[in-house]
This record gives sequence, C-alpha cells and structure tokens, in this order.
Amino acid sequence: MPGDNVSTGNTKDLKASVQKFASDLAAKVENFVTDISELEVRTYTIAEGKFAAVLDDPKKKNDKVITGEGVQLRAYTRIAFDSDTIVCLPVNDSGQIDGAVWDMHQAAVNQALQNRATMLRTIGDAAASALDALKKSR
Amino acid sequence: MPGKNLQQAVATLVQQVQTRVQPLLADVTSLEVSTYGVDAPQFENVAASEDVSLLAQRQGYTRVTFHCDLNACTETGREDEVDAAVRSMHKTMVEISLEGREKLLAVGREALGRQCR
Repeated sequence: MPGDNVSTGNTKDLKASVQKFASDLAAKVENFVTDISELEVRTYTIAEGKFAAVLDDPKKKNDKVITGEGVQLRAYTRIAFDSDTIVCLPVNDSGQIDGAVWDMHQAAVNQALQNRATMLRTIGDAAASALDALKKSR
Repeated sequence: MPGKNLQQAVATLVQQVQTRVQPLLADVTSLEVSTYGVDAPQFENVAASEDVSLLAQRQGYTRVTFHCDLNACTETGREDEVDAAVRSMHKTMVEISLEGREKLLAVGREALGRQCR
C-alpha cells in the first residue's frame, strides 16, 4: 500500500536524522570534553583608544589569549575539572591587590563555572535524548 | 548498514560523556585552592606556566576534604594557610570553587543517571 511506503520512508528518515544528530553530537562532545577539562579565566585591561585595534583584528578572533599594544593581563584563574583552583591576583607596586580588577574577574569566574555546568547538563541531556531516540527507532 | 552506524554513533557519544564525568565522581574527596599574588609584568608568564608556583609566591592555600557516598559529599576537614593581604579574595574563591564543584557533581550525577536508565 502507498501509505506503508510513506511510513517506511519516514522511519528511514528518522533513523538517518538520529544517526546524523548522534554523530554530530559525538564530534562536538569530543571538543567539549577537551575544553571543559580545564577552565581558564583571564581578565585583561586594554589602554584607552586601543580597543578596536586589539579586538577587531580578524587574524586574532580565535586566539585563546589576547595580545597587542596596550593589552595587559590583570588576573588569571585556572580551575581543573575536579574543581582544584589556582588564582593569580594582580598586585600593584605597593603590594596591594587591585580591588576593581578582582571584582570583575571574580564575576567572570562565576559566570564561566555556571556556563560549564550548563554545557555539561546540555550534553548529558542530548546524550540521553539520542539514546531514547535510538530505542524508539528500533 | 544504517542501523549499525546509528548505534555506533550513539554509543560513541554516551561513552565520551561517561569517560569525562566518571573521573569527576571518582575524585571528589578533596578540593584545593591556591592563591598567588603576581606583579603585573609577570602575569603573562605565570598564566602560561604549567606550574604556577615556579614563578609566583603562594599567599593562600586551602584544602577541604570530603567523605562522599553515592548521594552526597560531607566536609570532613579543612586546612588553611592564608596571608592577611589576600584573605578576603582567597576566601571568596574557596566558596566559588566549592559551589562550582557541588553544581558540577549534581550535573554529573544527573547525566550519568539519565544514561543508565
């Protein structure tokens, strides 16, 4: 019957879609797994008037670190996947911590940790969905 | 064969998630936070260094130990060595790390739980 052919075709399409979804996701997970093993947060200051030159350079768009004239790394935090943490605080000439930089850096670290947890949850959801879809398509 | 490819793709995906999440759940008995004060000119070198302690002096260190079972972790001890100059920042980072760890553990448990259903 014509209807059976349509149904069979739909099932094949569904299986192919799930397969593509799972394959794409597996490839993404591989990168994601590498990315989340160690979380690094860098806080920079950029000299006035240098922002555009530093941030709009297309050659540097994908660089992990920011470099250029007037750029200064001011705070750095490294958080391992098991949450062991290394914090580097900016100390000025008189040995004092720069509080303004620290406040902004701390906010960025909090945000990065939330993003990592959200990403992990999303990947877990996606993996569970792929498994469910696989069971249903059998 | 499409069915086999599909199973392989899903299996690879699930395996990758499990491979990453399981060590987290296995290594949860302690948390260490180290705080270093770094002079501005040294920052790039310190951040790029695998071992930060070679280039900067540690001013704060906290180690928190836990007893964990399948459901939760309970703090069992804490040792601190913190200079007065970095005390408030270091304390904040310890709290942030503890919260981040707890959140990640909860998400990890959920992720593994869903895949084992």
